[in-house]
Amino acid sequence: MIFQLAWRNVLRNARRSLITIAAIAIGLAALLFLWGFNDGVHNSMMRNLQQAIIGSVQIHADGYFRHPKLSRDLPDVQRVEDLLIKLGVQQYTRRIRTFALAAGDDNSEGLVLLGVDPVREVRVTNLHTKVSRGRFVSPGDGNTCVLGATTARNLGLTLGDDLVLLAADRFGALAADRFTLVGIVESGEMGIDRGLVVVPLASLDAMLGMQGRMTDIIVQSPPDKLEALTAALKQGLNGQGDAHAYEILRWYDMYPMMKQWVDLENAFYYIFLGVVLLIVAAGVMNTVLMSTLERMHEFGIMLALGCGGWRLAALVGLESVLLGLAGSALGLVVGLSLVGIFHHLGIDLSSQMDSITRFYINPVIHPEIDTDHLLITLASVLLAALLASLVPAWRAARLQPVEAIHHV
Amino acid sequence: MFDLSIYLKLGWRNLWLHPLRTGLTVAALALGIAALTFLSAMNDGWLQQIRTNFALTMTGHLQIHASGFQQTLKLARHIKDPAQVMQALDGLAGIHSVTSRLRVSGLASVAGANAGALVYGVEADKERHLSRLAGFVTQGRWLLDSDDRAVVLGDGLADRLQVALGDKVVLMAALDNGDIASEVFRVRGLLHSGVLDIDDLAAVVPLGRAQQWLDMGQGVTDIVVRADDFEQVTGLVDQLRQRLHAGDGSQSAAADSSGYEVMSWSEIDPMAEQWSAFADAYTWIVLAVVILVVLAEVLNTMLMSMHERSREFGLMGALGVRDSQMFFMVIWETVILVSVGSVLGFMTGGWAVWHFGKVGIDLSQFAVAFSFMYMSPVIHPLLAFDSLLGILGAAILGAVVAGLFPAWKAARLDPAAAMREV
Repeated sequence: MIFQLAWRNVLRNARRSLITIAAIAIGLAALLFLWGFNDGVHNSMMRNLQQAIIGSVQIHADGYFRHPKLSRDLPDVQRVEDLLIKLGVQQYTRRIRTFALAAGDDNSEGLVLLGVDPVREVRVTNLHTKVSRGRFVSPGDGNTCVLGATTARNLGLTLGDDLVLLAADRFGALAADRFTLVGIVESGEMGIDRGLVVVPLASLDAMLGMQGRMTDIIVQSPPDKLEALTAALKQGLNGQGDAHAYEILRWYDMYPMMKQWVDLENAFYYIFLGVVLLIVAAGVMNTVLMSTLERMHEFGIMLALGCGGWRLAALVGLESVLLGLAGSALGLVVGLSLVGIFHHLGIDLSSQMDSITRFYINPVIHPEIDTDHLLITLASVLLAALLASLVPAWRAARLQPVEAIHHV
Repeated sequence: MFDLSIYLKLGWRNLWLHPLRTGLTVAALALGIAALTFLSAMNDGWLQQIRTNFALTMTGHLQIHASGFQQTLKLARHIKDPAQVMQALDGLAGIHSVTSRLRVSGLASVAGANAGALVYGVEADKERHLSRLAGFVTQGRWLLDSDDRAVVLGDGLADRLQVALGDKVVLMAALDNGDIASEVFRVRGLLHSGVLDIDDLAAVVPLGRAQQWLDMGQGVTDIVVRADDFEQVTGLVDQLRQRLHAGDGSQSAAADSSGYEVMSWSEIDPMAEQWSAFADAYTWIVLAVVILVVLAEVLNTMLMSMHERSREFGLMGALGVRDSQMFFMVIWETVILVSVGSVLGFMTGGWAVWHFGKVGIDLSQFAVAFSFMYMSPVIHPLLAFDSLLGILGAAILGAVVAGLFPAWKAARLDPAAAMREV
């Protein structure tokens, strides 16, 4: 009965209902769009970071990440790769990583020296797509290398030049070898353009006397499977009593900076959203209060006809619930459409940034929305709309019939 | 021209006739403006914080090098006569402090481990006044002017080398002529700045010892200036370039190395500048959406109140009030509402900015305690003048839209239909 009455009231005054619904819908749609923008930036940042070079998960011998020594190589590469295949992982590759000194004409530079499998590497990371001059190391290469643009400039090297690399071999003795520069990487990221040299795995193996031993296994995984994969790897490699021979590190265990950055910016965003939510709630309260004001006469007559104060309050509350639901549904549709449309079009901020990407951010942002942000926002808007209607309902319950009827 | 004073009076009385309605509309406006003021101040505070932290952590507001040093980082391009530069700095207004440094990339090694390092030769006491480096020391102590072979290491570097306080570290670097020179230092302190490039690479030693070790005489590579505030930087850079006949650091490595380059913090590392430009664009989009929400809510409230008053307008129309007069009356009401709402909004927002500017907004419970990218998790909102103008603009736009549309609707009402409306 009350429900029917509420439903009819909502329909009867279409304009008033529409204004309230619009208030809620605009607020929700705006919030969803903002989340889409925010999540779009963050997710692409995290994806780019993982795909650039470090991968989603790295597997080393225990302690290697903090204190990389070649004698701490992976105990059993085959076992790790078998496990990865068993877990259905397709994107993985092996590397040797160490520290080297590159000697230029009149200066030298400390570099991270990476030996990569040319065939598998290109399936796991997209470093090869950042080569601006020359080419990436390829299968069948002898002693070739790829350098970051800044390092190449600092060392005064161009394509075809020879580069002498000095590094400690597996036994701690100093090894030196000559590599021909075949490619220059320009990514815009300081950690890559400066301080990195990539060579074929086989050449580095020979130079450092590794005899097939590896230091890193790099795995690429979609974000939603990351935690499960890490747990499975830990279980599979360290779970069988052989006391932590491996360390399994997610990207943010190794480089926590970006994850913390995302967390911080989300916190910043929650404050923003809290304020927007307040505005939306105030807007809803305003429209509902305004409409109770407008309907004083009507309420007075209802009370005079014997409808109790609390039933009237329930009626006003129920109307708000209906409006809230309708507004949320509309806002959800509009907001998600906006996210979808801009996801396709992209929002171009390149005029605000240099042409070079930095911090793994693309200057063209493609909004996307995380499910938990979607749900939290939807729930808060609904809740805010309902809370905002409590005041008008409470006012309606306390009306005096005669006064209300006389209200202008 | 008809007499408008009666409609001025009428509009004023209308507002008082329905205090609740008027109050609600003013509140909607005030809340919107307060929210915009606060959010934009939060953003400005954040950006300011990034810039300040960047400049004060290490870089300073501006640096003077020998021409071409920043690009090549070669010791050969050093300032042979620092006294000449100091002379040029004399008498310039807006300078907080000045110090000299010797910066070279090298190798740090202990028995069994070595790692790349950025060696900074610093004037211990002056450095303490200029940058925050001394304040980042977490173990041991900062350098003293009396120190000789002492080194303060970034904690990341120390961990990589597995050294602790009191241990010996050998630092190696290439000289002008290509020879490698090495020197032994004893670890006196460890620092943690939150900036990866410093924590993982920095080895800070006394300037005098570094000059001897690297055979530099009185030469230094950087003369670092901290200005009183950011507003001074452009002026200082221009004046110094004139006094020293210096370039801006963009000359190619081949340029003659006898001159100087004067570079501001944003030229030394475009990162902080670009980052704040990006963060600005980012928040601008967010603010634009918030402005839209505020506008929509204000418009809603106004429309609702117009809707409620249809009967009243109908009656006025039936009594012979002309459309233009009605339009004028509603606009007048809106002007009053918007003015009061804006003043209240700016006051509330301003208070919030002032309050949180003092206290700070602590986000560390959301994100782990950290400081990186020159950010700290406590934000101090700061109202920039530009942003204030922007908000004022948005408020006026809001007033125009929120006032014109309902006024136009009110003026167009058909009296008979309006009066019939419940």
